[in-house]
Amino acid sequence: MTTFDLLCAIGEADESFVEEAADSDAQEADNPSGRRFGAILRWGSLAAAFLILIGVAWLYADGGRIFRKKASTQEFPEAFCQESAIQESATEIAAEEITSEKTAIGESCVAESIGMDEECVETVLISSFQGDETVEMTRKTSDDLTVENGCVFTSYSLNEAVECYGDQEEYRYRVFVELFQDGCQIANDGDAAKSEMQRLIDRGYVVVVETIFDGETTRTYFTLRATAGQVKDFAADAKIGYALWLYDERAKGVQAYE
Amino acid sequence: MEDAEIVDLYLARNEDAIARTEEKYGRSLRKIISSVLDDETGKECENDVYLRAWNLIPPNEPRDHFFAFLGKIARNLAIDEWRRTNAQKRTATMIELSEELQECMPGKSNVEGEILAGELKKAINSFLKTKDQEERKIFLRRYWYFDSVPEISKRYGYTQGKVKSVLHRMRGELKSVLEKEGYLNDHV
Repeated sequence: MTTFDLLCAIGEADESFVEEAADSDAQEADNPSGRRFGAILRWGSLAAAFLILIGVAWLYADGGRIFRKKASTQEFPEAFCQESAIQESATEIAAEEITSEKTAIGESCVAESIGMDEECVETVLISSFQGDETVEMTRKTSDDLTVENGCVFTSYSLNEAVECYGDQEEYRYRVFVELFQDGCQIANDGDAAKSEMQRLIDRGYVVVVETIFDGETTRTYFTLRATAGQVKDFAADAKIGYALWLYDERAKGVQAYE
Repeated sequence: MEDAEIVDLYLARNEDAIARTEEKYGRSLRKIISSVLDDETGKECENDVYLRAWNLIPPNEPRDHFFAFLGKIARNLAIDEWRRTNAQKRTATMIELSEELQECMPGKSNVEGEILAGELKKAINSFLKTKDQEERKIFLRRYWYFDSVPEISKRYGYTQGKVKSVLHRMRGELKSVLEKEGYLNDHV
Protein backbone atom coordinates (compact mmCIF):
# COMPACT_ATOMS: atom_id res chain seq x y z
CA MET A 1 0.00 0.00 0.00
CA THR A 2 1.27 3.46 -0.86
CA THR A 3 0.25 6.96 0.15
CA PHE A 4 -1.22 7.17 -3.33
CA ASP A 5 -3.54 4.21 -2.60
CA LEU A 6 -4.57 5.92 0.60
CA LEU A 7 -5.22 9.20 -1.19
CA CYS A 8 -7.39 7.38 -3.74
CA ALA A 9 -9.26 5.49 -1.03
CA ILE A 10 -10.06 8.72 0.77
CA GLY A 11 -11.52 9.89 -2.54
CA GLU A 12 -14.07 7.08 -2.18
CA ALA A 13 -15.35 8.47 1.09
CA ASP A 14 -19.11 8.39 1.56
CA GLU A 15 -20.88 11.10 -0.47
CA SER A 16 -22.76 12.32 2.58
CA PHE A 17 -19.45 13.08 4.36
CA VAL A 18 -18.14 14.85 1.30
CA GLU A 19 -21.27 16.98 0.98
CA GLU A 20 -21.20 17.66 4.71
CA ALA A 21 -17.73 19.15 4.37
CA ALA A 22 -18.72 21.03 1.20
CA ASP A 23 -21.81 22.56 2.75
CA SER A 24 -20.28 23.53 6.02
CA ASP A 25 -19.36 27.07 5.03
CA ALA A 26 -22.86 27.76 3.71
CA GLN A 27 -24.42 26.29 6.82
CA GLU A 28 -22.23 28.34 9.08
CA ALA A 29 -22.92 31.50 7.10
CA ASP A 30 -26.60 30.94 7.76
CA ASN A 31 -26.02 30.39 11.43
CA PRO A 32 -26.26 33.74 13.27
CA SER A 33 -25.17 32.29 16.60
CA GLY A 34 -22.09 30.90 14.90
CA ARG A 35 -21.30 34.33 13.51
CA ARG A 36 -21.86 35.93 16.89
CA PHE A 37 -19.55 33.43 18.50
CA GLY A 38 -16.97 34.08 15.79
CA ALA A 39 -17.18 37.82 16.43
CA ILE A 40 -16.84 37.31 20.19
CA LEU A 41 -13.86 35.07 19.56
CA ARG A 42 -12.22 37.63 17.29
CA TRP A 43 -12.73 40.59 19.59
CA GLY A 44 -11.90 38.49 22.63
CA SER A 45 -8.63 37.43 21.02
CA LEU A 46 -7.79 41.03 20.20
CA ALA A 47 -8.49 42.13 23.78
CA ALA A 48 -6.41 39.26 25.15
CA ALA A 49 -3.55 40.10 22.79
CA PHE A 50 -3.70 43.74 23.92
CA LEU A 51 -3.52 42.74 27.58
CA ILE A 52 -0.59 40.44 26.88
CA LEU A 53 1.16 43.30 25.08
CA ILE A 54 0.73 45.55 28.09
CA GLY A 55 2.03 42.76 30.33
CA VAL A 56 5.09 42.21 28.17
CA ALA A 57 5.79 45.94 28.06
CA TRP A 58 5.63 46.06 31.84
CA LEU A 59 7.94 43.08 32.17
CA TYR A 60 10.52 44.72 29.95
CA ALA A 61 10.17 48.07 31.63
CA ASP A 62 10.35 46.75 35.15
CA GLY A 63 10.39 43.14 36.14
CA GLY A 64 11.49 41.55 32.91
CA ARG A 65 14.96 40.81 34.17
CA ILE A 66 13.50 38.45 36.74
CA PHE A 67 12.03 36.23 34.08
CA ARG A 68 14.82 36.32 31.55
CA LYS A 69 17.30 33.55 31.73
CA LYS A 70 20.18 32.18 29.83
CA ALA A 71 19.11 29.50 27.40
CA SER A 72 20.24 26.04 28.30
CA THR A 73 21.01 23.58 25.56
CA GLN A 74 20.10 20.72 27.89
CA GLU A 75 16.51 21.90 27.96
CA PHE A 76 16.12 21.37 24.26
CA PRO A 77 15.03 17.94 23.04
CA GLU A 78 18.25 16.59 21.63
CA ALA A 79 16.63 14.00 19.42
CA PHE A 80 14.82 16.61 17.44
CA CYS A 81 17.39 19.20 16.74
CA GLN A 82 20.95 19.89 16.13
CA GLU A 83 22.31 22.70 18.16
CA SER A 84 25.28 24.93 17.93
CA ALA A 85 26.24 28.42 18.80
CA ILE A 86 26.23 30.74 15.83
CA GLN A 87 28.32 33.63 14.86
CA GLU A 88 27.25 35.89 12.13
CA SER A 89 26.90 39.44 11.17
CA ALA A 90 23.36 40.40 10.39
CA THR A 91 24.49 42.53 7.52
CA GLU A 92 26.98 40.37 5.69
CA ILE A 93 26.95 37.22 3.66
CA ALA A 94 29.41 34.86 5.22
CA ALA A 95 30.99 32.46 2.77
CA GLU A 96 32.15 29.35 4.54
CA GLU A 97 34.50 26.70 3.31
CA ILE A 98 33.47 23.41 4.82
CA THR A 99 35.93 20.64 4.22
CA SER A 100 36.12 18.45 7.28
CA GLU A 101 33.44 18.98 9.87
CA LYS A 102 29.77 19.16 9.14
CA THR A 103 29.53 22.80 10.07
CA ALA A 104 31.88 25.36 11.40
CA ILE A 105 29.52 28.09 12.28
CA GLY A 106 31.39 29.44 15.22
CA GLU A 107 30.55 30.85 18.58
CA SER A 108 29.63 34.10 20.26
CA CYS A 109 26.18 35.42 20.86
CA VAL A 110 23.51 37.41 19.14
CA ALA A 111 22.52 39.37 22.21
CA GLU A 112 23.84 42.65 20.92
CA SER A 113 22.47 42.39 17.42
CA ILE A 114 18.92 41.67 18.56
CA GLY A 115 18.92 44.29 21.27
CA MET A 116 18.96 42.17 24.39
CA ASP A 117 20.80 42.85 27.62
CA GLU A 118 24.52 42.42 28.12
CA GLU A 119 24.19 38.80 29.09
CA CYS A 120 25.26 36.44 26.36
CA VAL A 121 22.40 34.23 25.21
CA GLU A 122 23.35 31.05 23.42
CA THR A 123 21.42 30.46 20.24
CA VAL A 124 19.99 27.08 19.37
CA LEU A 125 20.14 26.27 15.70
CA ILE A 126 17.46 23.89 14.46
CA SER A 127 18.49 21.90 11.39
CA SER A 128 16.26 18.85 11.41
CA PHE A 129 13.02 17.59 12.82
CA GLN A 130 11.80 14.19 13.97
CA GLY A 131 14.00 11.55 12.50
CA ASP A 132 15.29 10.59 9.12
CA GLU A 133 12.32 8.81 7.55
CA THR A 134 10.48 11.95 6.63
CA VAL A 135 13.72 13.59 5.62
CA GLU A 136 14.62 10.74 3.31
CA MET A 137 11.17 10.65 1.79
CA THR A 138 11.12 14.39 1.31
CA ARG A 139 14.39 14.28 -0.52
CA LYS A 140 13.10 11.58 -2.83
CA THR A 141 9.79 13.20 -3.58
CA SER A 142 10.89 16.76 -4.04
CA ASP A 143 13.70 16.65 -6.55
CA ASP A 144 11.45 17.82 -9.35
CA LEU A 145 9.59 20.47 -7.40
CA THR A 146 9.05 23.81 -9.04
CA VAL A 147 7.60 26.87 -7.33
CA GLU A 148 5.78 29.61 -9.20
CA ASN A 149 7.00 33.19 -9.04
CA GLY A 150 5.87 34.95 -5.89
CA CYS A 151 5.00 31.66 -4.14
CA VAL A 152 6.70 30.09 -1.16
CA PHE A 153 6.78 26.33 -0.59
CA THR A 154 7.63 25.48 2.98
CA SER A 155 8.48 21.86 3.70
CA TYR A 156 6.41 19.81 6.09
CA SER A 157 9.34 19.32 8.46
CA LEU A 158 10.10 23.02 8.58
CA ASN A 159 6.45 23.85 9.23
CA GLU A 160 6.26 21.26 11.97
CA ALA A 161 9.50 22.45 13.55
CA VAL A 162 8.30 26.06 13.58
CA GLU A 163 4.97 24.96 14.99
CA CYS A 164 6.65 22.82 17.64
CA TYR A 165 9.43 25.13 18.80
CA GLY A 166 7.87 28.48 17.97
CA ASP A 167 9.40 31.89 18.04
CA GLN A 168 11.52 31.81 21.18
CA GLU A 169 14.31 34.34 21.02
CA GLU A 170 17.13 31.84 21.32
CA TYR A 171 15.87 29.60 18.52
CA ARG A 172 16.95 30.01 14.92
CA TYR A 173 15.89 27.79 12.06
CA ARG A 174 18.60 26.73 9.68
CA VAL A 175 16.72 27.05 6.44
CA PHE A 176 17.91 25.65 3.16
CA VAL A 177 16.66 27.86 0.35
CA GLU A 178 16.04 27.00 -3.29
CA LEU A 179 15.11 29.79 -5.68
CA PHE A 180 13.00 29.50 -8.80
CA GLN A 181 12.18 31.86 -11.61
CA ASP A 182 9.61 31.12 -14.30
CA GLY A 183 9.56 27.46 -13.35
CA CYS A 184 13.32 26.96 -13.38
CA GLN A 185 15.67 26.74 -10.45
CA ILE A 186 18.17 29.56 -10.12
CA ALA A 187 21.84 28.76 -9.50
CA ASN A 188 22.90 29.90 -6.05
CA ASP A 189 26.16 31.34 -7.33
CA GLY A 190 24.52 33.43 -10.05
CA ASP A 191 23.80 37.14 -10.04
CA ALA A 192 20.06 36.70 -9.55
CA ALA A 193 20.58 34.62 -6.42
CA LYS A 194 23.14 37.06 -5.04
CA SER A 195 20.79 39.93 -5.64
CA GLU A 196 18.01 38.06 -3.84
CA MET A 197 20.31 37.28 -0.90
CA GLN A 198 21.13 40.95 -0.60
CA ARG A 199 17.44 41.83 -0.71
CA LEU A 200 16.72 39.42 2.15
CA ILE A 201 19.63 40.80 4.16
CA ASP A 202 18.18 44.26 3.69
CA ARG A 203 14.97 42.92 5.18
CA GLY A 204 16.72 41.69 8.29
CA TYR A 205 17.43 38.06 7.37
CA VAL A 206 20.71 36.44 8.28
CA VAL A 207 22.00 34.82 5.11
CA VAL A 208 24.81 32.30 5.14
CA VAL A 209 26.29 30.95 1.93
CA GLU A 210 28.00 27.61 2.33
CA THR A 211 30.47 26.55 -0.32
CA ILE A 212 31.19 22.85 -0.27
CA PHE A 213 33.91 21.14 -2.28
CA ASP A 214 33.56 17.37 -2.51
CA GLY A 215 36.80 16.72 -4.33
CA GLU A 216 35.27 17.10 -7.77
CA THR A 217 32.65 19.80 -7.74
CA THR A 218 31.86 22.81 -5.66
CA ARG A 219 28.33 23.27 -4.38
CA THR A 220 26.94 26.51 -3.09
CA TYR A 221 24.18 26.34 -0.50
CA PHE A 222 21.97 29.32 0.19
CA THR A 223 20.86 29.12 3.81
CA LEU A 224 19.19 31.34 6.36
CA ARG A 225 19.31 31.56 10.13
CA ALA A 226 15.71 32.60 10.43
CA THR A 227 13.32 33.20 13.27
CA ALA A 228 9.96 31.48 13.23
CA GLY A 229 8.34 34.77 12.25
CA GLN A 230 10.68 35.19 9.33
CA VAL A 231 9.79 31.70 8.12
CA LYS A 232 6.05 32.07 8.60
CA ASP A 233 5.82 35.50 6.99
CA PHE A 234 8.54 35.04 4.46
CA ALA A 235 9.44 38.26 2.62
CA ALA A 236 8.99 36.86 -0.85
CA ASP A 237 9.68 38.78 -4.02
CA ALA A 238 6.93 38.58 -6.64
CA LYS A 239 9.41 37.62 -9.35
CA ILE A 240 10.89 34.67 -7.54
CA GLY A 241 9.58 31.34 -6.21
CA TYR A 242 11.00 29.87 -3.02
CA ALA A 243 11.31 26.39 -1.59
CA LEU A 244 12.26 26.46 2.08
CA TRP A 245 13.52 23.33 3.82
CA LEU A 246 15.13 22.48 7.09
CA TYR A 247 18.82 22.21 6.37
CA ASP A 248 19.18 18.47 6.88
CA GLU A 249 16.30 17.71 4.55
CA ARG A 250 18.30 18.87 1.55
CA ALA A 251 21.92 19.03 2.56
CA LYS A 252 22.48 16.07 4.85
CA GLY A 253 22.57 13.49 2.09
CA VAL A 254 25.37 15.19 0.24
CA GLN A 255 28.59 13.46 1.19
CA ALA A 256 30.67 16.54 1.06
CA TYR A 257 32.08 16.69 4.49
CA GLU A 258 34.75 14.06 4.37
CA MET B 1 -30.76 26.23 -9.97
CA GLU B 2 -31.27 23.22 -7.73
CA ASP B 3 -29.10 20.16 -8.18
CA ALA B 4 -32.08 17.99 -9.04
CA GLU B 5 -33.05 20.38 -11.85
CA ILE B 6 -29.53 20.28 -13.29
CA VAL B 7 -29.54 16.50 -13.15
CA ASP B 8 -32.88 16.54 -14.95
CA LEU B 9 -31.24 18.57 -17.73
CA TYR B 10 -28.60 15.86 -18.08
CA LEU B 11 -31.28 13.19 -18.15
CA ALA B 12 -33.12 15.14 -20.84
CA ARG B 13 -29.82 15.35 -22.77
CA ASN B 14 -30.05 19.12 -22.68
CA GLU B 15 -26.57 20.59 -23.22
CA ASP B 16 -27.48 23.50 -21.02
CA ALA B 17 -26.78 21.09 -18.17
CA ILE B 18 -23.04 21.59 -18.59
CA ALA B 19 -23.28 25.37 -18.51
CA ARG B 20 -25.45 25.23 -15.38
CA THR B 21 -23.02 22.81 -13.76
CA GLU B 22 -20.04 25.01 -14.50
CA GLU B 23 -21.93 28.05 -13.28
CA LYS B 24 -22.77 26.45 -9.96
CA TYR B 25 -19.80 24.23 -9.21
CA GLY B 26 -17.05 25.23 -11.65
CA ARG B 27 -15.10 27.20 -9.10
CA SER B 28 -15.13 24.45 -6.48
CA LEU B 29 -14.12 21.85 -9.04
CA ARG B 30 -11.29 24.05 -10.33
CA LYS B 31 -10.04 24.42 -6.76
CA ILE B 32 -9.78 20.65 -6.35
CA ILE B 33 -8.12 20.19 -9.74
CA SER B 34 -5.66 23.05 -9.34
CA SER B 35 -4.29 21.48 -6.18
CA VAL B 36 -3.10 18.54 -8.22
CA LEU B 37 -2.40 19.86 -11.70
CA ASP B 38 -0.98 22.98 -13.25
CA ASP B 39 -3.36 25.52 -14.81
CA GLU B 40 -3.13 24.35 -18.40
CA THR B 41 -3.65 20.66 -17.68
CA GLY B 42 -6.25 21.60 -15.10
CA LYS B 43 -8.39 23.38 -17.66
CA GLU B 44 -8.44 20.30 -19.88
CA CYS B 45 -9.24 18.20 -16.85
CA GLU B 46 -12.18 20.42 -15.93
CA ASN B 47 -13.64 19.98 -19.40
CA ASP B 48 -13.19 16.24 -19.03
CA VAL B 49 -15.16 16.37 -15.79
CA TYR B 50 -18.19 17.82 -17.56
CA LEU B 51 -17.84 15.33 -20.40
CA ARG B 52 -17.58 12.45 -17.93
CA ALA B 53 -20.63 13.72 -16.06
CA TRP B 54 -22.51 13.93 -19.36
CA ASN B 55 -21.63 10.32 -20.11
CA LEU B 56 -22.44 9.04 -16.63
CA ILE B 57 -25.85 10.72 -16.27
CA PRO B 58 -27.82 8.63 -17.12
CA PRO B 59 -27.62 5.89 -15.96
CA ASN B 60 -26.64 7.63 -12.70
CA GLU B 61 -29.06 10.13 -11.20
CA PRO B 62 -27.10 11.86 -8.44
CA ARG B 63 -29.85 14.24 -7.33
CA ASP B 64 -28.97 14.03 -3.65
CA HIS B 65 -25.20 14.29 -3.82
CA PHE B 66 -24.55 16.00 -7.12
CA PHE B 67 -21.51 17.96 -6.00
CA ALA B 68 -19.92 14.92 -4.36
CA PHE B 69 -20.53 13.06 -7.61
CA LEU B 70 -18.84 15.78 -9.66
CA GLY B 71 -16.08 16.31 -7.11
CA LYS B 72 -15.23 12.65 -7.11
CA ILE B 73 -14.96 12.68 -10.91
CA ALA B 74 -12.75 15.79 -10.77
CA ARG B 75 -10.56 14.39 -8.04
CA ASN B 76 -10.11 11.03 -9.73
CA LEU B 77 -9.41 12.53 -13.16
CA ALA B 78 -6.90 14.97 -11.68
CA ILE B 79 -5.09 12.27 -9.73
CA ASP B 80 -5.11 9.93 -12.74
CA GLU B 81 -3.65 12.66 -14.93
CA TRP B 82 -1.06 13.43 -12.31
CA ARG B 83 -0.20 9.75 -12.13
CA ARG B 84 -0.18 9.36 -15.91
CA THR B 85 2.37 12.07 -16.35
CA ASN B 86 4.38 10.29 -13.66
CA ALA B 87 4.35 13.36 -11.51
CA GLN B 88 6.89 15.06 -13.72
CA LYS B 89 5.84 18.37 -12.35
CA ARG B 90 4.64 17.82 -8.83
CA THR B 91 2.74 20.54 -7.12
CA ALA B 92 3.69 21.56 -3.64
CA THR B 93 0.28 20.38 -2.42
CA MET B 94 0.84 16.84 -3.63
CA ILE B 95 4.23 16.68 -1.96
CA GLU B 96 2.78 17.93 1.30
CA LEU B 97 -0.12 15.49 1.14
CA SER B 98 2.21 12.57 0.39
CA GLU B 99 4.36 13.48 3.34
CA GLU B 100 1.43 13.80 5.70
CA LEU B 101 -0.27 10.60 4.60
CA GLN B 102 2.99 8.76 5.02
CA GLU B 103 2.25 9.02 8.74
CA CYS B 104 -0.84 6.85 8.25
CA MET B 105 1.07 4.08 6.55
CA PRO B 106 1.16 1.02 8.76
CA GLY B 107 4.29 -0.38 7.17
CA LYS B 108 5.25 -2.59 4.27
CA SER B 109 2.31 -4.38 2.75
CA ASN B 110 1.81 -6.59 -0.25
CA VAL B 111 -1.94 -6.41 -0.32
CA GLU B 112 -3.27 -6.99 -3.82
CA GLY B 113 -4.36 -3.75 -5.43
CA GLU B 114 -8.00 -4.58 -6.11
CA ILE B 115 -8.62 -6.14 -2.73
CA LEU B 116 -6.86 -3.21 -1.15
CA ALA B 117 -8.99 -0.58 -2.87
CA GLY B 118 -12.27 -2.10 -1.73
CA GLU B 119 -11.16 -2.87 1.80
CA LEU B 120 -9.44 0.42 2.24
CA LYS B 121 -12.57 2.28 1.20
CA LYS B 122 -14.59 0.40 3.81
CA ALA B 123 -11.94 0.94 6.47
CA ILE B 124 -11.77 4.67 5.81
CA ASN B 125 -15.54 5.10 5.78
CA SER B 126 -15.82 3.15 9.04
CA PHE B 127 -13.10 5.31 10.52
CA LEU B 128 -14.83 8.51 9.42
CA LYS B 129 -18.14 7.33 10.88
CA THR B 130 -16.54 7.09 14.31
CA LYS B 131 -15.39 10.70 14.20
CA ASP B 132 -17.48 13.69 15.14
CA GLN B 133 -18.60 16.04 12.42
CA GLU B 134 -15.99 18.69 13.15
CA GLU B 135 -13.05 16.29 12.87
CA ARG B 136 -14.53 14.63 9.82
CA LYS B 137 -14.93 17.93 8.01
CA ILE B 138 -11.38 19.00 8.77
CA PHE B 139 -10.01 15.66 7.59
CA LEU B 140 -11.99 15.72 4.35
CA ARG B 141 -11.23 19.36 3.62
CA ARG B 142 -7.55 18.45 3.81
CA TYR B 143 -7.40 15.07 2.10
CA TRP B 144 -10.48 15.10 -0.12
CA TYR B 145 -10.67 18.74 -1.17
CA PHE B 146 -6.90 19.32 -0.78
CA ASP B 147 -7.41 22.54 1.18
CA SER B 148 -4.32 23.91 2.90
CA VAL B 149 -4.20 24.22 6.67
CA PRO B 150 -4.58 28.03 6.54
CA GLU B 151 -7.63 27.62 4.28
CA ILE B 152 -9.26 25.17 6.67
CA SER B 153 -8.39 27.38 9.59
CA LYS B 154 -10.03 30.36 7.91
CA ARG B 155 -13.03 28.37 6.78
CA TYR B 156 -13.97 27.14 10.25
CA GLY B 157 -12.47 29.92 12.36
CA TYR B 158 -10.01 27.61 14.13
CA THR B 159 -6.38 28.35 14.77
CA GLN B 160 -3.91 26.68 12.42
CA GLY B 161 -2.48 24.91 15.46
CA LYS B 162 -5.83 23.34 16.20
CA VAL B 163 -6.30 22.20 12.59
CA LYS B 164 -2.81 20.69 12.53
CA SER B 165 -3.42 19.04 15.86
CA VAL B 166 -6.72 17.46 14.72
CA LEU B 167 -5.11 16.24 11.49
CA HIS B 168 -2.09 14.87 13.31
CA ARG B 169 -4.27 13.00 15.77
CA MET B 170 -6.53 11.64 13.04
CA ARG B 171 -3.58 10.43 10.99
CA GLY B 172 -2.34 8.54 14.03
CA GLU B 173 -5.78 7.07 14.64
CA LEU B 174 -6.16 6.08 11.00
CA LYS B 175 -2.81 4.36 11.15
CA SER B 176 -3.99 2.38 14.19
CA VAL B 177 -7.21 1.45 12.39
CA LEU B 178 -5.29 0.24 9.34
CA GLU B 179 -2.98 -1.80 11.51
CA LYS B 180 -5.91 -3.24 13.39
CA GLU B 181 -7.64 -4.13 10.13
CA GLY B 182 -4.61 -6.19 9.24
CA TYR B 183 -2.88 -4.04 6.68
CA LEU B 184 0.36 -4.49 8.51
CA ASN B 185 0.50 -8.17 9.39
CA ASP B 186 -2.28 -10.30 7.93
CA HIS B 187 -1.84 -9.18 4.37
CA VAL B 188 1.90 -9.10 4.17
